[in-house]
Amino acid sequence: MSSSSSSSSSPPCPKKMITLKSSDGETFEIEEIAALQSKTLENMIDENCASTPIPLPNVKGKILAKVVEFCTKHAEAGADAETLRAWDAEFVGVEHAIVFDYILAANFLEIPTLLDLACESVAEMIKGKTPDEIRKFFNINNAFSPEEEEDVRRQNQWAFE
Amino acid sequence: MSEAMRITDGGSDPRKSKEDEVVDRISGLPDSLLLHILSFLPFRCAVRASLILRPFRGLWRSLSSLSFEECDFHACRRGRSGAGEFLNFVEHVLALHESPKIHTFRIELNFHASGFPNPEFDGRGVMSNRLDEWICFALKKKVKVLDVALGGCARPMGAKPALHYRVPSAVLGSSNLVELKLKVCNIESLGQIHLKSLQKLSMFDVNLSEEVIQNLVSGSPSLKKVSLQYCHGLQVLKFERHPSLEELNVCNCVDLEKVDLASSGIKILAVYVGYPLSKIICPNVMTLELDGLQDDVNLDCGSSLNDVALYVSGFGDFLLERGVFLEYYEFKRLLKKLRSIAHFTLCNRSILVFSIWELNNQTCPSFNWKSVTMTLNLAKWHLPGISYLLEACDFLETLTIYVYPSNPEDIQRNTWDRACNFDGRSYWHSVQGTFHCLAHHLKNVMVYACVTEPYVIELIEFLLGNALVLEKMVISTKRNSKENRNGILYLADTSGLEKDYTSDMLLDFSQKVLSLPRISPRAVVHMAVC
Repeated sequence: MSSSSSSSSSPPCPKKMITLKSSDGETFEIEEIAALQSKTLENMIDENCASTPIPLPNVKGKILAKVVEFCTKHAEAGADAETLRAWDAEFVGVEHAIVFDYILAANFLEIPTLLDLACESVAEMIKGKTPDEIRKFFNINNAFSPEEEEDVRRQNQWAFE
Repeated sequence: MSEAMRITDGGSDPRKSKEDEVVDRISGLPDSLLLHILSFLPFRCAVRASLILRPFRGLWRSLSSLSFEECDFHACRRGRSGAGEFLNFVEHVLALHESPKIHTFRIELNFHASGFPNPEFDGRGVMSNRLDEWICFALKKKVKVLDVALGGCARPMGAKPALHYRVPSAVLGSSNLVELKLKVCNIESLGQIHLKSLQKLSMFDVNLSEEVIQNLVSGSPSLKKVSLQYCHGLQVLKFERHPSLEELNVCNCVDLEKVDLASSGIKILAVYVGYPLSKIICPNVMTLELDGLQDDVNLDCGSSLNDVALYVSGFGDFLLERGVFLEYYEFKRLLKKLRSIAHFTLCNRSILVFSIWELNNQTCPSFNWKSVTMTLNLAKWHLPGISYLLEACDFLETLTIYVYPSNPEDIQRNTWDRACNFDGRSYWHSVQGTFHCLAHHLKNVMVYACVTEPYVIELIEFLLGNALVLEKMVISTKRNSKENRNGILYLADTSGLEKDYTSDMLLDFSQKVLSLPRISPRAVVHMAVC
């Protein structure tokens, strides 16, 4: 929570808004400066395709809302690294299914900061677990059978010593 | 589950998933994303995950950051078991790795424990040959960041520098290297040095000479930062004009007597001052950090210097000699020389020296510092020092304090307790002196980190009640780094005592602060405590 009575200097030109449309028809407004975090959107803005709502058929509304929130936060001026890191940690502190949605959205929209954050979060889920725990946690189908796994370990002893 | 089954130690994930509802999101991801996920795991963990989990199959061979640490294979300090497995691991990875390019190559092992190099063969033993091969592998893959740390978990500086591994000269001709880190090794100085992309050079316990350093720097036209720690063979460190070199960090180089940057464009200098270093010439430096300061130093700086940080260190009973406080004349001389610096950074011990001067009723010199930042393990005995500072800095406009818990292990506690027989919480009510800066100049006050520690609110109250032209006060739990540029920890480690602030605690604190009287009608208090 933050309480202050201050006057902040506003930017000289009006904030340009871009409209994005999710796969399920929801629309979202995002400041142009925040949209530039996405290389995909940056290219579209450069080529002047950004006047009408930009359709994003790969991203659901629920996820697009969060992506807009992420980009807006990361485009804020004067955010210090420590506070941003804490905010990021909270952002990915969600069900892992959603983190995967972030990965796919960040990949499609080419947002490197979000992609790194989400992938690192999945890596943290893998660390410290046994292979069995990992398979159960992610419900990985077509996993190795115990015999196949034994084989792999034997053939690659150098990695498991 | 047995230890051997586990992929790695560490990492945590508090989220539990409902087993029956979990959809497999991993298998559907494209290889490029799976590889990206792997890249965030510790290297050996990534290799294992990639072998054992079908979706990641084979991807480890495309990882671009390779890191090999001997300590992963043994229980540190309990003998050298694990060396064989470590070597086996490295050899296999290098043989099976596929990508034509890598970004980072890191090796950490204890070279001197790996069997004695035989001086008859020019210092090259079996381990040396292996390291040569591994480094050549990295160079062939156009490595950008090369980190060779051959001290392992051994006690630092345990071995004779002459017997260190010598890094092959091919390293010094790499056009791809952007960062080179060498620890406990030496450089072969034969042949041309041409590191056209090198930006950062760090050397720790490396045998050098003035000529080698000159050649390294002049052969690296993109070089931005040099860091030298515990290096031998340098008596004078002198730098000439260079297109890009802007930062130098020097710490504990045993033979170093003089640092001469008169002809250099280096803007940022961090030096540990200790015997035999006695002269620093830096007329063009803008940002200066001085660590140690146990001995006097002849400092020759210039008018571009506008940012100074002093990290005084010291051991033992530095306060008293035969029951009397030490005077710190040299420190006072140094501060007087730096009286017109715009921005000053101070640590625990600097403020304690101020406390000594305050308690001894020493007349205050006048400093023209405009902005002061201090990071303290705040205790009652820092308060006289802060008072001294406010009295001495007539033109202070910005004051920033990072507060951390007082150090319970401080061996000087009893001495200070005896010397400061006042109640810390009411210190500011009975303080005497003219605070010129409070009356005329202090506009901004920032209080950070562990803001609910004792004595903070009383200090805030004092400032709000006396700073006539105060415009902005910011109170936030944001933290700073506890290490300085030379990587030295300058604060007592109190991380176990640092509270995790709940929003209730902070709301309470905010309300207290916002209700304090403010003498400046324009003062605005920002609480950013989340």
